[in-house]
Amino acid sequence: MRAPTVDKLAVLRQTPCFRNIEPALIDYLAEQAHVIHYQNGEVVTHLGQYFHSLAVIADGEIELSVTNRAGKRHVLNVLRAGQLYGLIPMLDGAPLYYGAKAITPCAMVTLSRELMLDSMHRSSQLMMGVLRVMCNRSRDTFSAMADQHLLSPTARLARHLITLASTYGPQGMSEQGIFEVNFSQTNLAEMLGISRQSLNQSMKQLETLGLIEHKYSKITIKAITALEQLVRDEL
Amino acid sequence: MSSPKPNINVRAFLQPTVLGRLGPEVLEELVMQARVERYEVPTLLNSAGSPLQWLRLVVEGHIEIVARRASGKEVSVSDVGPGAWATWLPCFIAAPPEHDFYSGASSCFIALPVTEVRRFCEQHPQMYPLIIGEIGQRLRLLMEWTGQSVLIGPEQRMAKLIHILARDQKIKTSPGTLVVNQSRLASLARCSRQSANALLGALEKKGLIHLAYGKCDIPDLARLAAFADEENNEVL
Repeated sequence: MRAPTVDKLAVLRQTPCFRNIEPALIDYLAEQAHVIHYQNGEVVTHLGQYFHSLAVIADGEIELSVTNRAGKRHVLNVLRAGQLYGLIPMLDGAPLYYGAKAITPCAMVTLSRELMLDSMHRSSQLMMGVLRVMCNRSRDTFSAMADQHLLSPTARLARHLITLASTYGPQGMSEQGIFEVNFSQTNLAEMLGISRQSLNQSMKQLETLGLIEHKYSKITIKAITALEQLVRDEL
Repeated sequence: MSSPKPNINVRAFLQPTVLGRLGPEVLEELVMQARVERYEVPTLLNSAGSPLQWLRLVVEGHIEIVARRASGKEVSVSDVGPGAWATWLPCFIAAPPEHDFYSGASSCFIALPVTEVRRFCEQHPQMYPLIIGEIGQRLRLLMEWTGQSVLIGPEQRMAKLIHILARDQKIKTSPGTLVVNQSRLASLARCSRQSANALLGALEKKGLIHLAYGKCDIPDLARLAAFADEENNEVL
């Protein structure tokens, strides 16, 4: 099957750090950009590898993870359309500190490191865009660390489901305001850094409260406001 | 905060930092705006939700960033040691920090008003890539710690923490000396003082570190890194 066409300019325009840059520069970047397609399950990069580009996810999802020698895996993040991949390695030229694989069919718009660094030097708007992305990412990382230690597994699961629902946006929501997200329990447990057993207990707790339903990897969020309240109660 | 002491040469401390890269004349603009802060006991510098008005360079001691919940639970999410800045974020994003900032005991900082730093960067846009590099390096260390420390055993985890703190303090050659005490290591590793003591003792026996009062000598950084990462190499 042929991969769908990707409008490179539209993808860059929708990405926060490129949004306010000069029209001529964004046109130039779109011209120079490449599109790479990955199949579901395909490895994008390995931990320790060099990745000499900045990529914008155009479509699909990629999962960032670390795996140890014993095969135990920790999922750091799942990136979706509009998010940047490889920002820090693009800036410092050092190897990747995670591995990445596509978990759906995925397309990425890539810009070479040289092109990005050169464009940043030429455009203070782009420079500020990158700077703000990094500042927000730092802040999010601190918040995630705090949550990991201060919230119960159930509240962390609730917060994660809220994030997933907001990422999938209105297209994932039914007319009754019910969200459906697809995420295996193994992936959720690896992402939250808890055991499958703990995750299962938390899922059951949310189900008993009537906030979610789950069957295999399909999770139905029935009451997002109540989920948000559950998190707020622990803050 | 005690009053400034004259023995701090602000210019000399700022010069090797990212702000000194544009030359002495440019640096002078900021030296005029700087104030020296000394704290003998841990002191709240900025509370969560309040705009952070000072960018601080740690000269001695440390700044601890603490997340707190209404229930009273709290956790230290970051620790900024000598030579590092806390924090560039308010210079570029409007939202106030979500966490409290505390000085460590016996700490000394050079503080610059955030508004002045912002104005300085606008006047000297060459600063942006340098600051991006600074934030990027810290973010990489943070991500390495949060990502890779999860899957390794306690001794490797402590070794990883020491290696990351050494990189944060810009120790690049061996042997190196990390300015840190055991209670800070225990707090960052999220273990008790007793557990930290046992883990540090085990690393010392392996010859990876040597502990002294308020510091940790690292005879061979590469060996420490290799030990920390030996369980963490991805199966290719």
